[in-house]
Amino acid sequence: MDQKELIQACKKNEYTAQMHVYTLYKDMMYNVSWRILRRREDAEDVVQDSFIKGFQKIGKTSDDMNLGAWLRKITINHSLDVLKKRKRINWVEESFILEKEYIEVEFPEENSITVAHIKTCLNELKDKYRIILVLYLIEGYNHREIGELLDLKFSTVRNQYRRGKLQLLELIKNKNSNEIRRIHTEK
Amino acid sequence: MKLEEYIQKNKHDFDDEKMSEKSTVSFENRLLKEFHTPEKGKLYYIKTFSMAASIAILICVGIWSYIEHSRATQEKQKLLVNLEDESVGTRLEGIYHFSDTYLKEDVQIINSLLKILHEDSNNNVKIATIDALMLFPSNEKIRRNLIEALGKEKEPLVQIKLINVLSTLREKRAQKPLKELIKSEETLPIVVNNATLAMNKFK
Repeated sequence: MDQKELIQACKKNEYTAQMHVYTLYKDMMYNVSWRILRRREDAEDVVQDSFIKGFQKIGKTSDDMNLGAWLRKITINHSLDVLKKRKRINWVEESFILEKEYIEVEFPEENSITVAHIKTCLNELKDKYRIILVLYLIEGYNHREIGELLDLKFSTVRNQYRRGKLQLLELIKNKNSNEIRRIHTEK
Repeated sequence: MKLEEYIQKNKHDFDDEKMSEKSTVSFENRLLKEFHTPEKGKLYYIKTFSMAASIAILICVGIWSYIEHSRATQEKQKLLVNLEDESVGTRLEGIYHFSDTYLKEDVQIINSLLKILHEDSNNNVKIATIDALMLFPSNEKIRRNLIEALGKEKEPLVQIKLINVLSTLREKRAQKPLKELIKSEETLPIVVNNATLAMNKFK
């Protein structure tokens, strides 16, 4: 069954097709939500809610749409709603720092870095940086779209992104050097 | 290589977390409950049917009210025309229709009947009118007009009818015209007798 047929079957409320969609996209959606919420239970709830919401609204969509991207968008929006309800994030704190103060930190050599390492460092950032970085770097949103999602000015998003990225690079570098030092000491 | 490029290149490796099996089971249950419960489907049809039926009933009630209103208006107009007709038969027909079927305390019709009570030339029409007015014994305007009519009425049959009616209504304000009737030399003895009996009832 191709994607178009899958969408048509979901529009007819076919259980098998719905479960097929769930199996195809559940982990992708879970990762999307987990990156924003960082709590397994919350992320799993969001995934379930997003599928239910998606199946309720699928009748209004085109058969040719990109189902994965559509579900991803629903998940991101719902995850952000949950996050906003859970705690208030002070997005604009420290954003008065001028852009010229920003100094590019070099990204370490590719072969000494792993995705797991970046994920660990990303998760150590404050929410106000992490969310923007995740949306920009992994989910592929641009600054203007992030501004619309989070109800922030374009300049605030750009500023927070740069600051977040700076902190992330510092963390990546430091943690990486510590790791290398630890390995050398153990030897 | 820049951070952005590195992440872009290894984007899929970021999706390494897995949904728990427990969550999948709970989703299956939720999906069945939300979209595939027969009762839910049945309920949906019942709801839809009820809604459609309610709308149909509302439309029918609306149409019926409109027809009923038009019919009532037509009936009333016909009744008013009949009550003012030149022919005694038609006026009587109007009065009988009012007392047998119309039965509404309509101001316009009551006024028309009161006009007949005071001005009509036919005794039978007046007597039928008094009977019709008696359908609303607590109407003060009717009571006042019956008393007034007794004071003015010259026809013995109508006088007797009014005396009996006011006596039944225990209308004490009728004592004054009754006394005048009793005193008057023009009043027939049978009317005087009826008036005297009525006066005795008030005592």
